[in-house]
Amino acid sequence: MKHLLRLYPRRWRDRYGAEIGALVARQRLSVKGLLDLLKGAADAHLHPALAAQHVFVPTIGFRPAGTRTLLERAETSADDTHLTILALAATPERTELLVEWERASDPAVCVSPTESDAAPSIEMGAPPKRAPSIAPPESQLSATLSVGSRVLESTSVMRHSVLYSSAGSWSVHSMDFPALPAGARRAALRVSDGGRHWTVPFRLVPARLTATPVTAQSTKDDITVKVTDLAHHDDQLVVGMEVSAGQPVGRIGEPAPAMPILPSGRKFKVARGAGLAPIVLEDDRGARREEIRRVFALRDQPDAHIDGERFVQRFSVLFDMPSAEARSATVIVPFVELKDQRPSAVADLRQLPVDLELGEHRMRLLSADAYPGSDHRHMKLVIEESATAPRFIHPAAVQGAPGGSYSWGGSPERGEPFWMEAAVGDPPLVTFRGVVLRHDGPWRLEFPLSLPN
Amino acid sequence: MLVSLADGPKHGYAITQDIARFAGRTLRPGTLYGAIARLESWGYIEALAGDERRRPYRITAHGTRALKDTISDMQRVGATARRRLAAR
Repeated sequence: MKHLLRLYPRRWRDRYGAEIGALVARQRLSVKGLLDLLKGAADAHLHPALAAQHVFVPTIGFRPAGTRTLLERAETSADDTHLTILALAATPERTELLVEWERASDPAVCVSPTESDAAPSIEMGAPPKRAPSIAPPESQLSATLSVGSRVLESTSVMRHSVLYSSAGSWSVHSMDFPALPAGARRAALRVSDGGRHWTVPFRLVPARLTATPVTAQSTKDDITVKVTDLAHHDDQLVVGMEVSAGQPVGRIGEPAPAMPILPSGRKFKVARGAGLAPIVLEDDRGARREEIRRVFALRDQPDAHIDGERFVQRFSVLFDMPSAEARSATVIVPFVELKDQRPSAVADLRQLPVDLELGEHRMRLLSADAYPGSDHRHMKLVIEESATAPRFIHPAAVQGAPGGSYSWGGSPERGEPFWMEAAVGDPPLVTFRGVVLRHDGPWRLEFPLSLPN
Repeated sequence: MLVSLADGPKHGYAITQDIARFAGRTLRPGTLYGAIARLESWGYIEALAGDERRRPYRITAHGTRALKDTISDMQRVGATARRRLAAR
């Protein structure tokens, strides 16, 4: 029996071998049963993805086996606008798309900083960029997917990245829809912006970058870091990771800044400097590689969620491929930041500077400069260094006018003053809520480097 | 297999016994696990935690939808077949 099971691929044996062995032990193996196992082994070799639990969808992340993706690039051009579906993951539960816009400039349109600040950043924990002064490339966006006669309305449309130049603007949106019908091979995305419409037909195929499941975990300060999946894509090693803790998870190490999603065919300089603490991969041959980039959740689900009383963040980290001789590797996570959302402090911006306490953590609000013609204030803060671990990094949030947005930036570790911006009402009071606390590692996770063929 | 799992989770041996009872066919191990792997990869069934030699499987919401769609298609085809045969 064991010899027969060896005819199956290793991943298949790992996944189903014990079950098949137990079943054969209960049924007398006839000649027909023997032939059936041989046929099953041939089938398993012909369809290796069937025993995978996850597949990797580039730009989107690890998704359940059975996820479908784009057969080929899908794009359309009309009305000075070029629309491209950059990535697609159709899982049994939902359909995720990343859609790129390129639009020629329309200098007549402007938006206020408040509107553009509402655009979230795709990089978890990264501070939102300063408000651009010209309009985003779209305003009243709606989207549907049509499959045959069925039309699926989007459940969310969110802008993640935006760039401007004198020639025009560029942005990337994530769009979520309900699950596509199981057998669908063709569909079309229809996007409407005000009175204009674009239709991008596309074809679907099963995602083929199968993942190797990995079980490696390390716990420190009640923060558990896991490596869950490995995949091989474009000479890069993709490591699926998960961080869970009793409080919301913020930054996990500090990679070199990079655009989360690159516009088609464009290149950006990646700034490197002091204060960076990237996730590192060391292999058993002594080679050390820093992360190239990360793929984060595009939406809150399913990559970031609450599991019981634990907050879970999932993401993928890309490294240059280790050498073929390497048999194992260790991922090293330098620090994890958690958000304690309990403490709060109120400041009156007419009485500055002022010392503030957020629970046991201290900071000084130095100034709050107004922008001409805007209700936003630019606040400079000095964070007092914590006497004990974990370290107080900055307040988690600030609120001025009810419902107003906020942003923050600066890194005292890199010699940049820390700042927060918020819309402020009258009287000019702001409330700082929660603290971001840094737990220093490292978390070290060793795993074998066995990748799918 | 989806019909078998429609009334609750079962492990491989229980699935073969159940299918033999209601369909009169005994699935052999190679065929059974080829089908389990496909249904898992399509998201129609999922494995539950348990002894790795007797891992139970359950039908997912997606699998339930697919089963209902298939039954509906089969009923339509069956009704057409009955009508046409009755006319002969």
